[in-house]
Amino acid sequence: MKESYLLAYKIRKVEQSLLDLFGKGLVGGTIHTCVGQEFSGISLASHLSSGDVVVSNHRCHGHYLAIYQDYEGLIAEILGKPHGVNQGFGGSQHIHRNGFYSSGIQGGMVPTAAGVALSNKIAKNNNIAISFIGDGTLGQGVIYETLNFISKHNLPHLIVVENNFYSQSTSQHETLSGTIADRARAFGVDYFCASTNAPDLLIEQMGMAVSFVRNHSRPALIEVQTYRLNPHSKGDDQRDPKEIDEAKERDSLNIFLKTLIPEVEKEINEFDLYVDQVIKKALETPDSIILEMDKSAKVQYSENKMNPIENQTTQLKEMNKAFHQIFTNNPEALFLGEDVKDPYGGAFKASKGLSSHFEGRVLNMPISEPSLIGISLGASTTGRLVFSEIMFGDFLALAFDQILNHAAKMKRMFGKLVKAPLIIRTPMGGGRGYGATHSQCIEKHFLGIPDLDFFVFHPRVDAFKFYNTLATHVQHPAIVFEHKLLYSQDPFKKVPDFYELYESTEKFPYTRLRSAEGADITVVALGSMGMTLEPLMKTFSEEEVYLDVIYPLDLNSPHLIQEISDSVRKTKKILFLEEGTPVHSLSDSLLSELSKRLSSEVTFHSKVLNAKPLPLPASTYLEKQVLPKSKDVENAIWELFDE
Amino acid sequence: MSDFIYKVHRENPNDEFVIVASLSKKSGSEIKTNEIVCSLEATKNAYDVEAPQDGYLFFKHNEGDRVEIGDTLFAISSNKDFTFTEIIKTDDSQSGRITRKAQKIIDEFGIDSSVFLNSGARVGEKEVRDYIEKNNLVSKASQSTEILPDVHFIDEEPSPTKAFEIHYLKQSSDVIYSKVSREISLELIEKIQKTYPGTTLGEIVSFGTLSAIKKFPYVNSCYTKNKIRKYSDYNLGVAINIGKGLKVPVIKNFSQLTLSEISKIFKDLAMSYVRDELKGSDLVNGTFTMTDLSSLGVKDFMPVVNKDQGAILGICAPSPFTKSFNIILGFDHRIIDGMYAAQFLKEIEASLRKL
Repeated sequence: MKESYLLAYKIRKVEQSLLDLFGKGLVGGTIHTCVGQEFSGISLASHLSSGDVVVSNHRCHGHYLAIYQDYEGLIAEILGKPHGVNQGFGGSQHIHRNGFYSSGIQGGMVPTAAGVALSNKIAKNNNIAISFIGDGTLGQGVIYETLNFISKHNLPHLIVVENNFYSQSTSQHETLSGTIADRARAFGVDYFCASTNAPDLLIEQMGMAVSFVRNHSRPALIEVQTYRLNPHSKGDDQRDPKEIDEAKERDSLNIFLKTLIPEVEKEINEFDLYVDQVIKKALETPDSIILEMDKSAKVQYSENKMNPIENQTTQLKEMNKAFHQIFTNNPEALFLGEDVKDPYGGAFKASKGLSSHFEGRVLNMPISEPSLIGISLGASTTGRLVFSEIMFGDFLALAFDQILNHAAKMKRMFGKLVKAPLIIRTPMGGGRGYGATHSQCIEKHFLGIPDLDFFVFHPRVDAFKFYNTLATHVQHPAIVFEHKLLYSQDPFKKVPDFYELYESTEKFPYTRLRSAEGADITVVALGSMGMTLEPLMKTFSEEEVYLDVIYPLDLNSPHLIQEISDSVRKTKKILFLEEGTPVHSLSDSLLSELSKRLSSEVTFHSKVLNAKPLPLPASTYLEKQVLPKSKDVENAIWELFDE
Repeated sequence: MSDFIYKVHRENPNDEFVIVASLSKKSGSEIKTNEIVCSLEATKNAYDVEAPQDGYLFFKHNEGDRVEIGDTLFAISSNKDFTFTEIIKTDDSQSGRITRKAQKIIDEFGIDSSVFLNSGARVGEKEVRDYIEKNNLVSKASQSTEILPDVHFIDEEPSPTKAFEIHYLKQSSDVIYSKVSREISLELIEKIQKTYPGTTLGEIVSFGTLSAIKKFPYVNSCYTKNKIRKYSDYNLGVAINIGKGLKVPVIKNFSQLTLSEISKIFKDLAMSYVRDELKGSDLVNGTFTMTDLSSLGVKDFMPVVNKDQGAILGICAPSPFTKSFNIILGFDHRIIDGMYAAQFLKEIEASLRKL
């Protein structure tokens, strides 16, 4: 037990030192200390196996130090130094090392841990996942989605609820109904309880909980009652000072330190000196600088002429074929979504047949988009390729936090590249009369999120090739927007007269329709808009007006904007076609980039065609009045031509 | 074989009519393919019309007539008793449809789209571009936007003669102009005039030029379609303006002539100019031009290179103080550089010294 107390002392010493540094203005931002709660992390550390994954939270120092005793790594991290565990990129709240992750979003990474547990369960490797949350986090819905899922699937996932009775400075009495124990029991999750005021019992209880989860491959929840002796972060404390003083009296470490035995005193003094040296060294070390972490060599590319051969296929068939192929080639791959298993096979039948051929690798998820993405992300961090299907693109909004704050952060938030081969895919768009919440094109809300690969399907995407390529190369989360009208399209159908089809030689090529007759107007057609444009091209050809049509696929490809710029240099006219609403649209983004490139060189005319900024009406007749239609495209072309 | 009807077409955009300079045959006579039917004079340039087929020739106009662009001038028929019936104006609905692109170009160039009315097929970009090239048209957009001065003024249409001049000079608008001058002693000229009495300064310099030009082939060339076209013929255009507008009669193969012959030709040309006897055929195919402003007291000027030529020689008036005068070579810098031009001028002087 002496060792546990010493460890607790060391954690407290490091955190007190960090607070001193903060007081001196040497630490920026904020830090959340766990003074008084140290035994929570310590109780877990001794029960971990090497393959276990711990997912912590904003108050993570104690958990990290208890497991790794990497005092210098943490201090240097918080001081923003290159020898910090994440070179200063993560800081106090975002720490990653081997099987350890933490994040500043309350409860956001609980499904990540569940995803790891799912992967462990499928791999039958006896490893478990642990997530730490506080009692304040019990207000988050994603916690309950995860409890539901881990219980249903018997996942080896231990949730540690550190109950310090406060959310920042708000008492639990104001925010929490019922009991923590009842929450666990309601989902059929086994419940354990202990307190940091009795460290020996806590360690024992934690050991029991860990063993239960590991040996029964079942989830459990352990409530660790504790008290935070310091404010939530620094000065934000409205608690009764008397209550805090009483807690300090009861604190196990304080009691231990009062009855110091000489040998411990020596170790304590040595450690104090060590921390001083570590801080001195860190302060003398130059700050970290941002190095280009993702230095991919400049890719040479060109365009290939394509000879599409109609073969009575559709994008949906090609996609489904791709998933079967990928699942055959990659036995680790998973497919998660709502209603995706046979016989239903997904709302648009993209996964039809997959669950029958690959048993156990296709999961029907509860209706819970946030945890669907979070669990998929967690499973992908274990190296598995994971497809995550969002039934209607509109529902992505529910999972926005998971995509923005977790999936897209995984790659570089921790100062090193963390792999997470996750493919989020979803059907978008109107034209089917599904109404305002099942018909939107909300791609624009996801464009520009750093480290989220972004693909938009168009009528000539070879979906089989695309998904096979993506499955082979995906290392970090990618999002693929498939327009529901495109599912029935034959990507290999004949190109309009006078036109030839080209594709860039990139991994994720843009597609181009060009005429030997030249080009009068550059047209960038996003999503399904090519379906409206192509039938009109005959009309333009009859008037000797020829288009340079570009179908973007990878919106982040530097070559895409390069080609659009080169085309506009010649035509000096560009039309963007996009079904999404105006303002900050994909078109606006491309147009802005185009202006930056061309403003000093050429004057060009531009037009952007979007849907009207209205909730999409359900009635087919009304819907047609809102979406960009054939006549609008034709008029836009003539207006540009006449400029 | 069907009857051939010849309608006067527009040679340049400012022409509203042509003048029938001469008819080579009488109405009703037989004519063979490629035989010249008549000579026409547009505002300035002149051209011959050849017969496209054999047959009997019938004129609708006489020599000296003004014929509006688009009017019928003559017919060639296999029928000896051909008579002009009213030529039925083509119905709009039967004419070719003009594509939007073609229409846009038509608008850009300010072309009267009725010129395409007789086209049977669709009028597309190609047909319009061909027409533009054939007629050397310039788009409206390429003419710079005018900023009006803040004073009173009256806009006056340039006379047809002046308009043609502008049009003619504008052909070489993409030329990079430059010029080089050389001072020549008046003593040298006076010495030559003693040997060749009655010769003028201009005639003597022209002779020097024709002696020098064979050694400097790039002076007798032009820049066209990204190539330098060196002429094998030496046809000297002589810019004359003595009261009836600028005309540039051409002396063909002038490099073979003696100074006495040149002197005679110059005097004949001046006479024809005054009497309005210069024919269309006298005004075309120049390969190099000379412009003499010596009689006007001019010390220096920038001679403008003519269409399809690479250089022009300017002659300035002698100075009574220095007893010398300047000769100037204006040239297209895409063909000739300053040093080459200077050497050419030096060679002119050298050949005069040999006289």
